[in-house]
Amino acid sequence: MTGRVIVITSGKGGVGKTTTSANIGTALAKGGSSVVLIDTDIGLRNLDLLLGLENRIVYTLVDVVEERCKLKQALVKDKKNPNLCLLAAAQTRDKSAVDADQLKSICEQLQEDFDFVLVDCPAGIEEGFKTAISGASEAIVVTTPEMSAVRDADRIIGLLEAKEEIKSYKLLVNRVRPNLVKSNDMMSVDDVVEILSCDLIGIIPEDTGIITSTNRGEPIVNDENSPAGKAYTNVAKRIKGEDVPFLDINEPKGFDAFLVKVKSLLGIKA
Amino acid sequence: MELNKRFIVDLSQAKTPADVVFEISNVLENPEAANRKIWLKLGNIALNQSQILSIKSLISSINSTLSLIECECEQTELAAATLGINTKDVEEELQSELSSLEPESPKDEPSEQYIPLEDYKKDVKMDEPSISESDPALSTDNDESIEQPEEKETFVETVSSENKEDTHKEEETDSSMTSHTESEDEKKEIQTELDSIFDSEVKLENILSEEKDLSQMQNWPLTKESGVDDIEIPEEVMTDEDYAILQMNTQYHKQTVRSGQVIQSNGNVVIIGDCHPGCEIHAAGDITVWGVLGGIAHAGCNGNTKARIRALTLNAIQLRIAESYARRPDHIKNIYVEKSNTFTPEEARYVNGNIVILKTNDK
Repeated sequence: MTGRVIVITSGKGGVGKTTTSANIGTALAKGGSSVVLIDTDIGLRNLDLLLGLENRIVYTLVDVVEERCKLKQALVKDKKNPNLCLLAAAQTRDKSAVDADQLKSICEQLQEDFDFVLVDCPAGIEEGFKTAISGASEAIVVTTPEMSAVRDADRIIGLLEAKEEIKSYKLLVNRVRPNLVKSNDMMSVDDVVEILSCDLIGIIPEDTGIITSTNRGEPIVNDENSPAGKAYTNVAKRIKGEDVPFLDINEPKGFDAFLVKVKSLLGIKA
Repeated sequence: MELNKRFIVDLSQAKTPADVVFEISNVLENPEAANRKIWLKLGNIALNQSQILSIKSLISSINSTLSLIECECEQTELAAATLGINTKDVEEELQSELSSLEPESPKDEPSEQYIPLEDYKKDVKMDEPSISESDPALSTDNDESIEQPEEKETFVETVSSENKEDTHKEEETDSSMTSHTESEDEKKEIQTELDSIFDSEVKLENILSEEKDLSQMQNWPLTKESGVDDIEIPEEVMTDEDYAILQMNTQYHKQTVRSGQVIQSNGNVVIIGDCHPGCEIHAAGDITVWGVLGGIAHAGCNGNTKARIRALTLNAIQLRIAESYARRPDHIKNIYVEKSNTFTPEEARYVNGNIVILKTNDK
């Protein structure tokens, strides 16, 4: 079995790389694939917190690289989903502890046992980024509909294109706020895709549930009512090759739909 | 003026070196103690040279000097004398200095009676009139410290810093872990491995959930009142391993240990401050945290199962003693425990391969 190694990157910090990794990983595992998540953000690890596995980590990526333990010992199994494993980063070291060749060989080993190897990339384009993309053959570029994030994503795509091993890269637009798009205060997803001229793999609406899910250590895909959770589940399906239509996030739902109706009755432009 | 430079600290009620270190560190927090000649009044307590040296270095860290030690114990007196520290009686010295300079301020005399340890600050006095102004500040400090339960059974020896790498002990634990049989089914292997590592989880969970989940209270295995003897806490008998810990050097840290920071020691570690989640403390001996312990603590990392971990608030992500591990139960989500004035000091120890936690006021 040869699994797919996918790196999740963005260039800019705070756009949701780690959240995306945790949720796509969980969604893929829920769909029956075996998944391993690698946190390469050494020294600033967060992925374990988002998955609620912080208290289970004994050995880390750095321990594996420095041969203090075997690779399999360092894999932390998820609480709920036995298909999902985490290879955590060390908190007490920095990016220089692991180099590109070492991560590449770890990815190759994991590839044999897992369907998907998802690499959570640190922010920036330095050493940490170069290490993270070293083992990957595919990439997901996370961005938000903001000029700064889009500019950074453009730079990242340039770097990914320059790397031969990366066969394909897809764009994921995170934290889209339909209301702001409608009032022309935010770039639309179409604008972002046009600027970056890159295939789209998902649109994730802004969702306050993300905050609570992060604090609880419970990925939002486990919440079936959450719009962001649904969107991430769809992304996971698209990664597997299913043809899933994009959620129409512009369509108002619930109270918003009611408001639109009232407004139209009163003759106010929505 | 010569007299103004003096600062008397009465620790005659301190029973162990740990008490002395704790109390001194608290006293030294007072800005009044800086740039002074410190006179130390000790009771019948045996300190060796290195211990006195470390106290001295503690005092010199705030630009003061340790100029006099009054002590009932001969060993301490000898050690102090060899270090060139005056070992005269505080009262006599005070008298002689007063008479040689100014015959005033006799009101400071009544330090004869013994004062409980908690009230040590009341006895911290100087001969200058300006101290009385600072007294209200001292007494408020004092009130706070009384509210917090004091843990006095700690045994901490000295404050010499030794930063030798403890890498070999990590290899030891590794070898024990690699000895798990490797089956062809790796997933099962991972599971069993984790299970064996976190064997003691149940107990930890019961204990930590004690206040939050009443239904589990009956199952709490560690209180004597509950009558459940799941785990029998053995009688306290001092063994060679215990003495080994007592003989170890002690690293003394007065800081907040933040995420990513590692403290390693071949001896005991005392931390005055909080240990945030993400930090790691490895010690061959005991780990004592005078604050909230939130990170990973590994006591007895060279294999000494008599090592203990104690903290005012024990909320560690993982506790490791020798080669046993325990993790924090999943339902505890408050990673940063709210600061409050009421603490329940707890102590983790190793009992028959498990890590058990005792509230210190259970004894």
